[in-house]
Amino acid sequence: MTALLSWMDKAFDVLFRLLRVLPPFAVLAVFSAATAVFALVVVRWTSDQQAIRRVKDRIGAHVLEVRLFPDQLRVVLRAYLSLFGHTLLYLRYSLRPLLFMTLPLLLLFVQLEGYFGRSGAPVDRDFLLRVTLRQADALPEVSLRLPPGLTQQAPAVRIAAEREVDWRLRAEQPGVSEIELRAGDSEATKRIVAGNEFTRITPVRESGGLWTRMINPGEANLPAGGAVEKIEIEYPARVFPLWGWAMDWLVPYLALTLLGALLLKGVFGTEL
Amino acid sequence: MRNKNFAGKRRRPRWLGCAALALLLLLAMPPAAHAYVGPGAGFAVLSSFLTLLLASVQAFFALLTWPVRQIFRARRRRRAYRRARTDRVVILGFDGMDPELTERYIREGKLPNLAKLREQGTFRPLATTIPPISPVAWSSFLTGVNPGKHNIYDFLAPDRQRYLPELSSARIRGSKRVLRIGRYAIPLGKPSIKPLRRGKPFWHYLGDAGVFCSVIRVPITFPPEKFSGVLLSGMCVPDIQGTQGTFSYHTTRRANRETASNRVVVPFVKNGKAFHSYIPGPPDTLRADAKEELRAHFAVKPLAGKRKAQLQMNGKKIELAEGEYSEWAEVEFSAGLGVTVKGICRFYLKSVQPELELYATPVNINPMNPALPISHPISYSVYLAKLQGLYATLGLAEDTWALNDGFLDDNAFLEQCYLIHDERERMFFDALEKTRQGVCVCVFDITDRVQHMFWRYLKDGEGSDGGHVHSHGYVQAAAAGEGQESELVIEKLYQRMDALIGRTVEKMEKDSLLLIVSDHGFKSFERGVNLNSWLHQNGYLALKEGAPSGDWFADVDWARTRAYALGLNGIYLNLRGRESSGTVEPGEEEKRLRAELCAKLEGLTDPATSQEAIRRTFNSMQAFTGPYRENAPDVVIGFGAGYRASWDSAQGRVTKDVFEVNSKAWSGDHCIDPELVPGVLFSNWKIAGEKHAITDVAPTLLDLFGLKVPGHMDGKVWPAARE
Repeated sequence: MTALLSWMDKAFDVLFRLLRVLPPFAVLAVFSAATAVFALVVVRWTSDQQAIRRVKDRIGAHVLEVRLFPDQLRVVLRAYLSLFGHTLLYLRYSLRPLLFMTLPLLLLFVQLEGYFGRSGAPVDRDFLLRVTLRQADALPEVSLRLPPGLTQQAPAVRIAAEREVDWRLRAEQPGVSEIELRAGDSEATKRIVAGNEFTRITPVRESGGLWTRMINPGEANLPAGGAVEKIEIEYPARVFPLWGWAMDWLVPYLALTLLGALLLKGVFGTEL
Repeated sequence: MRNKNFAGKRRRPRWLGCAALALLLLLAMPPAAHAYVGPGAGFAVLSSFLTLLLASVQAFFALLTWPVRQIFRARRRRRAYRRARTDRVVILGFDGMDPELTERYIREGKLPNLAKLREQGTFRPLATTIPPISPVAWSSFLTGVNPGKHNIYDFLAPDRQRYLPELSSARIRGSKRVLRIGRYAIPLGKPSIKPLRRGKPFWHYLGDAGVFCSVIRVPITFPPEKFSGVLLSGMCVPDIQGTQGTFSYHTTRRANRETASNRVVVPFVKNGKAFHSYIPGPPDTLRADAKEELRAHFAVKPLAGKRKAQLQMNGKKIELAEGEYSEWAEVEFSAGLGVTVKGICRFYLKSVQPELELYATPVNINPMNPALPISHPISYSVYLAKLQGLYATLGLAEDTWALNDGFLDDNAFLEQCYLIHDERERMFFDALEKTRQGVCVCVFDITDRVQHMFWRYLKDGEGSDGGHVHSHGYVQAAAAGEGQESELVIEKLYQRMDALIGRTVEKMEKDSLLLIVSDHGFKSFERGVNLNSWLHQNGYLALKEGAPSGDWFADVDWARTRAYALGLNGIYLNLRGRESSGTVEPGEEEKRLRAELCAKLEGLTDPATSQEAIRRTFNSMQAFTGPYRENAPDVVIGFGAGYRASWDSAQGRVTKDVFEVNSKAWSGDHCIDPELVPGVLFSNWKIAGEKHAITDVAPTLLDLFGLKVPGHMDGKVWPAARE
């Protein structure tokens, strides 16, 4: 499975390299469209389409009922109750495709988060490197070696209660580099991205199981027996400006996916 | 520098078989997963959440404004019902329910619910209109006036300029303004639908007073008019072609297309294992140069070894067994430029072998997405479709022509009727449930259609024929033993209606008023009278010299014609200034000719049977009052029992003989002397008085709700009281 995740990392790296000619928003739109198509196919084949159509019709009927018989209090209240009941039923019918979709989409979103979720560390501005150790008594032994282009701005802060060491760093130029940590016999590295380049960014590298590996794509887990448990870099969030609004990538992604699905549902003959 | 140790030991994918558990964990671990859950789960459920949200918002605002709206409405309702003698009136209309037949079945103990009504409430014959035709009688029912005031005299009315028939109740025209681009003619506006029925229905008066009305399939309510209530149009709603019902029949038996006034026979073309055909649609008005109508293509594959076939249309597959109807199927006609006309139809697989034969009902207007308005408000037809599924919208939905012309057999026709009836029942009971206060009225057509087509199976004297001798071929077949079950069709129909009445009574409060009305009764239709032939033989209608007779007066010499017959009961004078080639001078000559025709035709005897074929005639100037009397047939014929206008006469054709045997399945009729075919009136209240007429219903309802009866109404108020 780890191999599959590594393969996925590579595949997405290749894909994003190919799509680098497009602006990030366009790349996001491409993935939205692909997600829409995928979701339509899954919903089409895994759900009870007739039941969904029926229950949607019922929901529509009860909405109209409220408009058509406004004078009949009993009718209106019953319509609202039925509306609620049928909406729950609709959710029930959506559950099956949801189960089929969640894992593949989870894998996809983790990958997309790597590219769209964060910006690189700002050049000429401080950012934090936070290292969590497995044992607090190893704190004094931890040392950091920085590659050229990265400088330490303040002495390390050791927080024994949290088993944590923090460094204030600064990048002098954009680019991808790797820091090295040493704690006793253990060594650990972490990739650092500086500047606003549109590339994969992994804010956390930690030890753990498959789940940890899956939600932190791009870098392998830290070894289970090593002194370092987690390395975290505080990258700023990447935002998508739209008509004066700065928003997380999820918002346009979700909106475009829904729009795409609505536009394409007729083509795929899918009842949503 | 990367530490190789970081790769660590490769672990086995422990959770590989536990995908579902991972998903649950994912949902249960918001701190780590919240960023990812959104779209993953959201895509599938967001639309439902949106619905829920919108519903909640709507509910919130509705509830927020509820008190204010309710105060206004309650005041209005209180005013409306203050003087009302009942809170709710339910009217069940059974088109063509015959009083004599009903009475006989009650006597035999076959209609317990109607028997109870008769015992505890009221049962009376209900006088119908002149002429006793459904569109005329129901128009009088809903307006409370005689035809001279509502302007409906038949299904058809003559176009006086072209001597051609046109629909009497509505006129549909395409958009006046058209943008021509190359070969396309794009309409710049909606088609115009002009109602031709005059007079205000009683539900308009009640609605204005704050009494809510649900009106389901009452005839001559197309186009639907605005009022305070809901209405689904009935009889005279056209099909997608704009006709009153054109079915298509697809067969491997014939090689060429055949078109008649109410059907199109389209041959199948074999291509590989599939047989291809098409459903003819409306004219292609978008293309100026179009020579063909729009077509919806489909293919049928017989399934090997089975008496089944698979039909493919619009990417959808329908499997049908022999003798089976499909569900309503959506039919799309593409007109180009992305314009599609949508309708619905049912298929009936008549046979797979030796010949593939498939019947398709007329393409009905899709209630979910109506090409023409068929309800008020327009969303009401959508509401019903969403609630109960697609349903027949065509005015004359039961395809009598398909049975009459032998394309459907008795069983297939009957099944079609009951499929439609089941839809109607569901609509009615929904309307009944929604109309806790006010008026709920629904008309059921099945009683009319089935009696028209199955009267031939009634034994002599069993119906209300007064012992007339049945003389058409179908009855001979029944006598030979083919119609054992068919003899009971009408009886079972009445029992079905009785059961419906029983269920209705169960759902009503004791003090509500139930009215059961029919617009006319029934008699046998054994022999046809060709009025045009009679006019020709008596010198009133002239044919071009040497010309044979054709449909719709094709060979009539109008310059020498003084009168012509069109439709089921009407004779029209060829009046100068009114008809385009009029020969009869208005005034004295007109009056004289009208009286002369009345006198000559009244008492006309059939030499073959020595029976009175025409019992009475009605001079329009005496029979009708009101502003639209001028549009009436100048003479209305009241045929005797067993007679009716012949098929050829109704279609403006002159034949050699005036009298002919009716050999069609259409064997019962009511377009005769109105005295012979009254309708029925049942009620759970005692209704006193005499000579109850269908025209009385509207004024009685207004009076029941404490409204003043308008002076122009011809009907009288029934003295009705709860027991």
